[in-house]
Amino acid sequence: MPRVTALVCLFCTAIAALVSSPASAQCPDRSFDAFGKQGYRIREVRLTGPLLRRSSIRDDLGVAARVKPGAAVTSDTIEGGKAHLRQLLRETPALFESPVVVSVVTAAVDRCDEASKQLDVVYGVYTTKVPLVVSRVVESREPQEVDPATRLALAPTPLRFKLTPRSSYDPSNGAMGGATMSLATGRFFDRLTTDVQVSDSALFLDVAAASSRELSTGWLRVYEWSLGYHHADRPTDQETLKERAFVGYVTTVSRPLGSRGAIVRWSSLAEAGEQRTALLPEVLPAGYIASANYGSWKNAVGVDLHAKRHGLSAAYGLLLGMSHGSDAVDYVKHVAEATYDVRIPWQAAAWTHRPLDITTRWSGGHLGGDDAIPVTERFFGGATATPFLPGTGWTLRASPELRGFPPRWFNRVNTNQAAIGATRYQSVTLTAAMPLWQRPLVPPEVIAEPEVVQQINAQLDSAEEVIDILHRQTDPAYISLIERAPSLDSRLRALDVRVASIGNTLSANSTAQAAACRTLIDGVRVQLDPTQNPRPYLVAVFANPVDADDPTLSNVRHVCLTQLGKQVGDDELTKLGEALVSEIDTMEALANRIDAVRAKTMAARDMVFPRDVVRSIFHELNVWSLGPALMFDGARIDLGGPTGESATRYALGAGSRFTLASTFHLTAGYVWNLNRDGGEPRGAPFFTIDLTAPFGR
Amino acid sequence: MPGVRTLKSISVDLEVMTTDRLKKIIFGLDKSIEDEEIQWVIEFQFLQRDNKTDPFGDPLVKLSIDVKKSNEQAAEETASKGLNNPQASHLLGPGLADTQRFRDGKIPEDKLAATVQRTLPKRNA
Repeated sequence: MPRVTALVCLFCTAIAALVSSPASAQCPDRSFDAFGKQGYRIREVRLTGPLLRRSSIRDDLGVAARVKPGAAVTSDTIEGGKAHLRQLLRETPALFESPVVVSVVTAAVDRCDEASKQLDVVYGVYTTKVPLVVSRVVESREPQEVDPATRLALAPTPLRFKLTPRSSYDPSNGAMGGATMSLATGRFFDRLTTDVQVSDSALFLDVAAASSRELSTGWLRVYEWSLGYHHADRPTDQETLKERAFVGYVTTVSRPLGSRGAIVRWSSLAEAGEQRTALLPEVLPAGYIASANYGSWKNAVGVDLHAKRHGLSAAYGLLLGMSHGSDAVDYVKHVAEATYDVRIPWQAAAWTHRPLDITTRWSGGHLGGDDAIPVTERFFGGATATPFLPGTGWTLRASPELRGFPPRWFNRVNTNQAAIGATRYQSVTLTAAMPLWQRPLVPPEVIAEPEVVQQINAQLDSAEEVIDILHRQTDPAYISLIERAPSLDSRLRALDVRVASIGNTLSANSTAQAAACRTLIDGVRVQLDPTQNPRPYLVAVFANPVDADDPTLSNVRHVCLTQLGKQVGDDELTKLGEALVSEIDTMEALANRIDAVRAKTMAARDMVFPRDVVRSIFHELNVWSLGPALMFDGARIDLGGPTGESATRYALGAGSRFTLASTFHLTAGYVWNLNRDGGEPRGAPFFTIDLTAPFGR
Repeated sequence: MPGVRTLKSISVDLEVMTTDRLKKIIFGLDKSIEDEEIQWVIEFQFLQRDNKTDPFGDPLVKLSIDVKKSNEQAAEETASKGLNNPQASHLLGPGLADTQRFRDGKIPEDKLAATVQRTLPKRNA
């Protein structure tokens, strides 16, 4: 197996458990067939574990494996159901492919009723496929919660074609409808994507062809590139800011770095097109123009740190803009952002799955330049921030976020001015949310079983062992070992040839010994074969044998040199044996130089996120949840220019969020402005509904 | 006999994909009860595809191997604790090598089955 990809993956894991629900104590300790012989029939089929769409799986079980209410209890029936679930897990399509996946299916009977001869069949189903690459960044938490089926492979998801509708309302954009669409192509570009939202006053359209690749070595884990078209009509309270541009970008994401497992992101985006607005020239600040063809080059770098319950993200972006002014670079924009989020669980059992989520974000920006700056580049604040890198999925903001104002309405110091935006801003947002009513993804009785948690942790350890092996294959000592493999192979081949050549002279007993010797040599040599793709893990040839046929170097020495060598007393064989032993010793010394501590550390680092995800699945994710959210924002804008006018506003809001996992996500509320200017709005309502169950196949 | 737990039936699958994402090994353990006797079976599969964007089709290698009595304890431990380092080394070493030899018709099925089964006792080697 090749080296690790490190990156990659993550994986997965998961697992499981010898689950027996509390009620299983009602059933006597006997085999399934024993129940069948007593005439038991199935009362109910139950599924436990972090599964979505379990009713459809249960129906499928009835059809495919005949495990359904009323059916006679037999071992074949129940085991057939288990086998069917096992196959289902293997074949369930996921958005991503994990390098290591562990799945567990258990079968048990429960609620046995001697009188009616009925019992329940209970299947525990656990699997973990976790996309490491995209999941350790600040944007990943919400998708994981609202759409766990897709993000965590808890249920099938369309892979080839997807269409996900959505709608929203705010006073600036109005009632918007739209959808995201994705089509897998598998050519130079992996997929074609379209994201469109339309209303009477606004239009947002992004069309792109994108690809991504994962690397197996080095600090870089994944890179992605895209070419597309970006179209945005962003209404303010006066005019509409219009952008049309062809956009290309490259984004890279590192593997976890350092002892904290930091993820470093970098993105470079180039765009060319036009920016227009109908603002009159007389209201524009000096150096700004209402409309322009433009080109810009944006670069952003960010780092994401995630501990068990805390996440810290920081990013900086630089834009160099050209709009046919007198300079090669007509304007420069800087944006920066820092986000901290924390999830606070409650200790009381009754409050599990109701974590308090708090997210705070600071962002700031500055726009500088002397001539021909499109006014649309200025900062227009409001409830929805303008993305610095549109279409990339990176939510680095390029405008102040102030939810008491409709999008882009916080754009001047007082309402008598034209909506010209700011040249500098800072904003702080605070959001606290907690589900009050919910249904856990994993039933509480499963979590209450200490054995389940213990088993899951054990299987996570197992996955870590596999990744450990993959990391060892990137060690310089292992690479030296691989490079030296031909030398060992040549000595084994010479020994094999010698054993074959003396075959006619051997006794019957020695002939059998020689055959065993040659079989072992053959078994070792195939592990050294450079044409094997992927190459087997070479260190296994130094392992302790578990039986006489185990193709290890230890067995080769014992059978070929100690036993056969003594029996035949062949000088040439002895000489070849000594050369082989010398080479084995040299290579074993190389194998011992593999930095096991490094591999273990890297494997442990790779597993931080999967362990966190598994914990989240079992203790935090809900099938549905409903709860309140509180918001507080503060923002300051500076209009620049000789007067240096500025304004600071605060807002406080409340709302509620209802999430039906992997189906839809509804948020509604209102945010009040606490210190508004006379003509400014009292506040702003917000409403969004995202369907997270895509149509497609 | 209220208060007594039922016998357990469990299957554990470990899927390992190669870094070129073109091949996948599935090492599975299945425990069931047959005639009041515990049965352990290793299910081993090797899958391969030409392109990373294609789904893995039917396995090229698919073995169902009855676990020897002498390996049942190791099977129980492996199912409940997962593979340890020597087992993972064996699976990715001789296991992978013989799988590819079997796929290429160079060794018989029983030899591959023996190699795969050896993953269990490697736990304590």
